[in-house]
Amino acid sequence: MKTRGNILLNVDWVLIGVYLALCLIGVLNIYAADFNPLSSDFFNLENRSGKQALWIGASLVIGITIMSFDSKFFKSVSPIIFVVVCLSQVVVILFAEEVNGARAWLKIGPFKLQPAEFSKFATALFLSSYLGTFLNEKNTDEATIEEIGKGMRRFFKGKKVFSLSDIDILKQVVPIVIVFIPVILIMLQNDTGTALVFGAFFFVFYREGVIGRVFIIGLLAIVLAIITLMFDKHVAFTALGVLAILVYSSFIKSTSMALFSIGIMIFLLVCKAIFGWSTSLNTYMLWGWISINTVILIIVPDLWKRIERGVIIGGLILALGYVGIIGKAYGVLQPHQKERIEILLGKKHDKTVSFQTDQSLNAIGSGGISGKGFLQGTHTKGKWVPEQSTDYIFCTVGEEWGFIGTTTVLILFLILIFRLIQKAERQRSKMSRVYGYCVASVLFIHLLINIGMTIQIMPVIGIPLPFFSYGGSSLFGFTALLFMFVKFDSQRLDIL
Amino acid sequence: MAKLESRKYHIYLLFGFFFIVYICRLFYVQIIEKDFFVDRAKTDSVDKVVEFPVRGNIYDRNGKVLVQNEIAYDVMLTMRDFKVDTLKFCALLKIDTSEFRLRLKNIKNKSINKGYSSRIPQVFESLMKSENFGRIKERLFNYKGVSVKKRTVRSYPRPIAAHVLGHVSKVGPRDLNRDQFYIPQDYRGSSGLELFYEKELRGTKGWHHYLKNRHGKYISKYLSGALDTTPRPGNNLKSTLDADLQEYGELLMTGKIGSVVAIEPSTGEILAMINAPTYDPNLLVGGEYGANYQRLAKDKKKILFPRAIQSRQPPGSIVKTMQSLISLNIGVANEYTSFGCNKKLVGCHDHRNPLTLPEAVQHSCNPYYYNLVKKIFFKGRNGNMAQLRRGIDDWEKYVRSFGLGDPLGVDLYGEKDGNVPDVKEYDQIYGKNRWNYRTIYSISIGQGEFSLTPIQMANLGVILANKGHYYTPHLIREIGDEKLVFADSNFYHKTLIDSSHFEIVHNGMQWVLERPGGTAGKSRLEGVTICGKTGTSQNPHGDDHSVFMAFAPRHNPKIALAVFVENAGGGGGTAAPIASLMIEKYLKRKVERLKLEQSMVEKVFY
Repeated sequence: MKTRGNILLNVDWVLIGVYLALCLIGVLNIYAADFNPLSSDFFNLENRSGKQALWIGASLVIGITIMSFDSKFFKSVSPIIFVVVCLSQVVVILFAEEVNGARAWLKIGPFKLQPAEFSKFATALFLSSYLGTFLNEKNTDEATIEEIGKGMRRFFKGKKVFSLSDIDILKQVVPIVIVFIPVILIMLQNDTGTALVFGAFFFVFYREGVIGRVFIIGLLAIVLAIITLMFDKHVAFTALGVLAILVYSSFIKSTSMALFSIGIMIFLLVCKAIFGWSTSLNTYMLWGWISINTVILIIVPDLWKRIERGVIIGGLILALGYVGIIGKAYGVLQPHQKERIEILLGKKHDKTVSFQTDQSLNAIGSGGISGKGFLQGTHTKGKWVPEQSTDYIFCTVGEEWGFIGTTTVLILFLILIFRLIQKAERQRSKMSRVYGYCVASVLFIHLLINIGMTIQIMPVIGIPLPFFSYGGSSLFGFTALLFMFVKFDSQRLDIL
Repeated sequence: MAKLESRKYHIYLLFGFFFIVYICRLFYVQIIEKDFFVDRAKTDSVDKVVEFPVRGNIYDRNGKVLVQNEIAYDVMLTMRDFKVDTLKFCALLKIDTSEFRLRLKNIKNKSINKGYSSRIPQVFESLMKSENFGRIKERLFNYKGVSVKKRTVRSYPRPIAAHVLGHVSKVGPRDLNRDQFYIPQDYRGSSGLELFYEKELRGTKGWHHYLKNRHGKYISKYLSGALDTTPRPGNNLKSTLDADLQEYGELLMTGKIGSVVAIEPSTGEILAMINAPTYDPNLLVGGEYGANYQRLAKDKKKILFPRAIQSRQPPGSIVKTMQSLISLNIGVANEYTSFGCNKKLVGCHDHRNPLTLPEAVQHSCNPYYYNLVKKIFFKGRNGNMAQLRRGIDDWEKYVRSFGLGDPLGVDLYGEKDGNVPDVKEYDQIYGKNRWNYRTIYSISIGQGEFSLTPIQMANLGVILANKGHYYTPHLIREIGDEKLVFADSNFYHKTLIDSSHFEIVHNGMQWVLERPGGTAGKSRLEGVTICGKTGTSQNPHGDDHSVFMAFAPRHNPKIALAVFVENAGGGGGTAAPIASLMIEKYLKRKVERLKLEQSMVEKVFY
């Protein structure tokens, strides 16, 4: 055992440096977004920049506080933190006033706190300390593509694919339950955006082998459900049929054909994202993909012969049934619920939402290469983008600092996230590693959704940009999340 | 274990993939499509606000103001804030409630009012005159959402020369399509000098660029005003009109239909151009424009008709001067050529017989000109049809050199040509070889198919005064500081008549006023030798039109003019005294023959 050295030497200054850089760039942009020529004092607490600066200071205090405890302490109190945060959310659900359609704020004196922002931290901590207890690892997950192919074949031949006894309740079910408790609580607060962030834990489960075949099949079912809702039932069914034939037949001899087919779809989706193709193209894209695959089926020799037709027909019947059920279930929903789902899927545009995203893109696009300059953004000054200092803070970067600014911010985040993964992999304790992945994944999902929303790649889901967006709760939450890992990392040599 | 650890690469790959997609998307949006978004951002957040230039003034030849600008007010409503007791508001603006509702409906109709926004003031009442505005100002500002915008409107200190000056009106869709200069709130010249010199008068607009916020409120100047321009006022025009003479002519023409055109022979500058009946140009300004225009346009006397340049009328006997000159020039007659007054050929009045050429001018003997023009056409070969056709062709060349048969090219739009009959026309009317001199003789005395506009009649006076040449008549002599040059060959026109022949005709014209038996004997002016010629333009629909063409003084002429009064009978009775009074006014600046003046003003012919 190595003696504990100076904590200042053991902390990862790259992480802290990037963190501070992001916070500073963030508060500068908040100042610009909230700029009021009549009261232009940066540190004036009447201004959002002043408040954010205060909160950055407070976050540093939180960070230093975390660093001053022993990491074993956090491991032992993690269930308590988890329970406390969950209970505070119950309190919010029961008693809080509604703000912007969500019951998410807890009033403590003059301050308002959003417990959901802390539940990411609490869940990550509790989940990693829970998974950290299973020290001798056995690979429970065989969810590789080949394995699924084998499994499907066995299933359609009437053989047993898996039994319930294959599922390890402690290692596979409990972690999922741990994640779903806060998700349900947040959904009850009507804060779908934050709930979606918990999807980040999927990456952790994948890395740790928590999810098995069942979950892959579950994922496929979700994808199919989305396709069904986005497109016509028949399109969905045809797509599924072609997918089934192709994937199945490719699994027999080579995975390259399957990868090629999936690659085409991904390529189309990437082009759509980059060039901003309109949503009305979705159906054409899907049909295009179906026809390309059909051509492949026809022109590749022997492909058709190698297919076991009984399996295909069985699979298609099953899929048809599933698509039908989804369609029926959707029909039962209330009109306003349908509308919300359609807006989320990008099928329908909310007028105010499309104004917001259009203005957001105008602001970013008009920034050009080097931007219009600090405090010179015409869209920013005119407050054209609603919520610009919170969810749409990236617009300010895009407009005033241009492509150079936006890529700098993205690269800082990339450094942060990759550094987190790299450090996580170096941890000696499983708990620290799992926690590192949790932090990286949560940050990544936030980034993906928030920035994706401002550049019209993602649907509008109101979640903050970590360290950037105006708001104390989210800054405190992210700081705690990050500094806990810095703490773990600084003590990694202490642990066997 | 090893298998699971390799999954970190999947995660790196997946995260990295999304980063690359996002950077590509930003590259596309911020670099490739930059211009598109810059444009879109600009249309949203930058407002171009116009500052209207001041339209140029128009002055008379002595620097007196004919047209200037006056402040008027647009009453604007901001619909979001506008809450009002409809009845009281209507009473204040003197409109009825249905009109009020209609206007609000039109304001809110985006297909009519494209830029409508409930937060931006919209024009409700346009160009309210300042005296009207002053009366309701206090009460108007008690209403919420009411604001005013200053505009300028045309104003005419002396209500004269309405047709010549023209008027301005709101631009229509055609103007907007045809000329990028205009925006929907613009006014443009739509008749007269306002129209002809539109490009000089309108000036250049100033533009201010404002940055506005999401709610349409201006927050600052865009790019600190780097793109802003100040308006450049339109050029002032100095016209050739003499305001006093114009005003006096309009006074004389009250109660009459017709026109007076007076031109300075040495320059072609139009001193006065009177269209009667006329109207107060101040009527076609501002808010009352529409109603007044309708009323004037519907008037049976065709008040808006610019007769001086558009009314084509038989010139009557004033062309006898021209016929005399042609005969002298081609040598078929001389000063002492005489013909008997044979009333069987064509009607005439009683006078001494026979007459020499200047005496024929003095007495306006119709049979004389029947014979003279016959001589011009046949050149002694009477009855020869081929010679008649050649003779008419030859005559036509002379007549056209007097600027007849085509518009003279005055600086107004819509000038008419008049008609010089020719062989082709007679063939068309009567059939080839189915006519002879007896059929067409009426052109010899300025009747029949022959027609002139009043300005051409005045120009005939100019040619006589100048002994054979004229300058294109025009109304503007200076644009801004630039003096226009009319002395060059484009504006100088020489007739085919040799200048030596004019004295003979001038004698006759002088005798018209000064010798006993002259057709305009009552119109003599003490101390000024006027040369003139009366005419009676035959009118198949009613009383004949009274015509008089003159210039004065005989030596070194300063003014040439034509007076045309519809339905006023012979030229000596009405047109000649009016012309004489005009000459007195112009040359002496003061009219002493007040009795004559009064009797002329009081004559009414409609």
